Amino acid sequence: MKKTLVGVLAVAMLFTGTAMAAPATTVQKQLDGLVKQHKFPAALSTVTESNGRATSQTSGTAELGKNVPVPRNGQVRVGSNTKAFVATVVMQLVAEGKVELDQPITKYLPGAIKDERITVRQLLNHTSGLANYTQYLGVEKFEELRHRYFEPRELLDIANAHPVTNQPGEKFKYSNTNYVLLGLLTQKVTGRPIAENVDQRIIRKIGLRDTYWPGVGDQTIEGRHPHGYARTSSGAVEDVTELDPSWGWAAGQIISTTKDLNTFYRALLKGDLLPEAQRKEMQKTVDTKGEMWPGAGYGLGIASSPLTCGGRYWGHGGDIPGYETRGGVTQDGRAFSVALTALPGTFQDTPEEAGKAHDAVLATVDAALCGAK
Amino acid sequence: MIVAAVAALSLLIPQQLDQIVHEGTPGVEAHANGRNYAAGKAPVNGQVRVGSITKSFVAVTALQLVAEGKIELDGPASKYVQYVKDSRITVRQVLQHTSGLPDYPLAIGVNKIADIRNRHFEPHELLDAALTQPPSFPPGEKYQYSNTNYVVAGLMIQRVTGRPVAEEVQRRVIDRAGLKDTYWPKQGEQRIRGKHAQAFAVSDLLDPKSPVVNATELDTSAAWAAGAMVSTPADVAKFYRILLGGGLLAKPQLDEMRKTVPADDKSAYGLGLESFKLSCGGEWWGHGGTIHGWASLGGATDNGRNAAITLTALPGTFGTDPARTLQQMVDVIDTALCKK
Repeated sequence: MKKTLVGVLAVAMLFTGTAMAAPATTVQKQLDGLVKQHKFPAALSTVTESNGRATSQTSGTAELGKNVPVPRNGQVRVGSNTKAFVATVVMQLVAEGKVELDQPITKYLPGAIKDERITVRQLLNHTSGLANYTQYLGVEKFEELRHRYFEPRELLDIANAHPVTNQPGEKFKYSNTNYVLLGLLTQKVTGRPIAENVDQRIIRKIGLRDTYWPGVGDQTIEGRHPHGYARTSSGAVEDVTELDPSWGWAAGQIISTTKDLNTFYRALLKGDLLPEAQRKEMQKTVDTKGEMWPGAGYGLGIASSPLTCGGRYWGHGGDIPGYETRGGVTQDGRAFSVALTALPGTFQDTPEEAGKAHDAVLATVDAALCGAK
Repeated sequence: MIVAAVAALSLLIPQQLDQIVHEGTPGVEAHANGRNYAAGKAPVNGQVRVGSITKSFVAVTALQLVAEGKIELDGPASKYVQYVKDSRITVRQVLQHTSGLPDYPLAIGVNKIADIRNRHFEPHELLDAALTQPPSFPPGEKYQYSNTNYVVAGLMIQRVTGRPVAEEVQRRVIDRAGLKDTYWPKQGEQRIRGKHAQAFAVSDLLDPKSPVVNATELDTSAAWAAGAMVSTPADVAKFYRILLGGGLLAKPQLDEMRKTVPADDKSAYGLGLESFKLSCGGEWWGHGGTIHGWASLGGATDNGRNAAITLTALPGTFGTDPARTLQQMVDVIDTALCKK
């Protein structure tokens, strides 16, 4: 259970190696396979064509042990996809001249961290070397954290109490701490809550009707949604749909749908949310060197991944107890997102099986973006 | 005879409220023993920002946690909030304003409403602003009102419950007392939800001559556990009546709440609860609250009489003598609690 919240998990290293071929398949067959072969209770997806036409599909059951139809385009916790939203807001602030990418974060948040060399850019592309607080939060015993409210400062305090992983800028090392700092940065320079910034600058701006940032203390999912499942430390599987996402905050708090994620990544890459200069900055990637899936590069809050049919797609992905999401948009504006109602490893008994389940999720994205109907 | 007695009280309070409005305050709302009153530009029992009356709610929540063994009243506050460096400071001192923790509002510039009305503050930013200053005095040495104490109390409640202080106050106090018009604004919320008056404040509280502005919409994150709440005069009066009647705290904790230190010649401060002398003898228990645009006072007596008043401007905003207006507020409460 270490892999929570890290859309692009460290554990993904275990999952590498399986070749991803785009089979002659359909999206529905892929979703059915994720449910039947890989034991996810539900799989939900949306394809959005380059002309904007969206088709949502489902497989499985909304509630384990019962036969409850999965709501089409139902809401899920999208975990680390939140980072792409936060990064977009930060880049809007860069465009407005309120934030400078290559200035140290301590210029905006004096005393927040010790190392005054770490820049805003290094936070955005995970090269800061700051300790990842989720590694020290005790997510192995998720049941003890599940209903716990954290102040953002508490998350930062945990990170600051642990050693850095590398020198600033030296290498890519995924750390949720980076995005907690970017949330605080946004609040500092705008004077408004990060939730309100994301709501006004992105969600309302492009009309993501099913996307929201849960309020302080809100543990529910407000719209139609499939239940999400996770394993407790004793090994039992539990319905974790309701949880306090404050430990994710600017690194992973948002609730959305596969359709809204497509709309967001399409708008972002098309330039509807940012001037061209900032969009291009966002797409300057660093090598993720085994920290993510094979071939992935990480820009500023978005990742670029190769397709078996050639070309690449841009997205992020997200893992939080109960839900996994993967997907993104290709150069021609075709987008696909898939959501599963458990993290790989919840219903699989060995790391190998969990790895295969994750590979199957990525293969679904690949198939859909390579043209599977 | 009973009818005559009720008439006497119900006439006296309207006269007092009319006088406050006559002297320049735009509106005033009050509650006395089950009856609501309003004068000037204010709805009957409209919602108001109750400012520091929030502290009573937070103190009750903390004392419930004391009863549950989750907080040690005479234990160090640093056990719950690591940013409090002086381990001699006890939870009791925090709740009683004898900790010596320096106050933060001026350090973050709350005096200028334009600078803070649209500004979200994290609770820790308030504490940071306080703690850049030296302690006001050694812990326990004396009473000196400091909002920082209640930011610490809020963080302490969050730490031991693992839940937001707003949620704990809602569940443990607002719901339990049945205060239907009372709430803790959500993060970023700047409007008042129910029917309410327009409230006014000078644009710089440190400059009485600065222009008066409409202060109704306000982000109260700068006040947080020291003063963020919205309520009505009827709910405030009901809250103190139920609290003093033992409906929110067990007797040992209510007794602790009422152990006071002298505040000034007319009042003494317990734990988030203040006692004031009554003209008819004895005392009443409650709290005051001032925030941009609103001045409130509310409380109850041991025999269940209860009252609250809110003005839609801080005393002095419209050229009145602040001390005189404040005394008029106290007089309204005194009338409600003393007169037959």
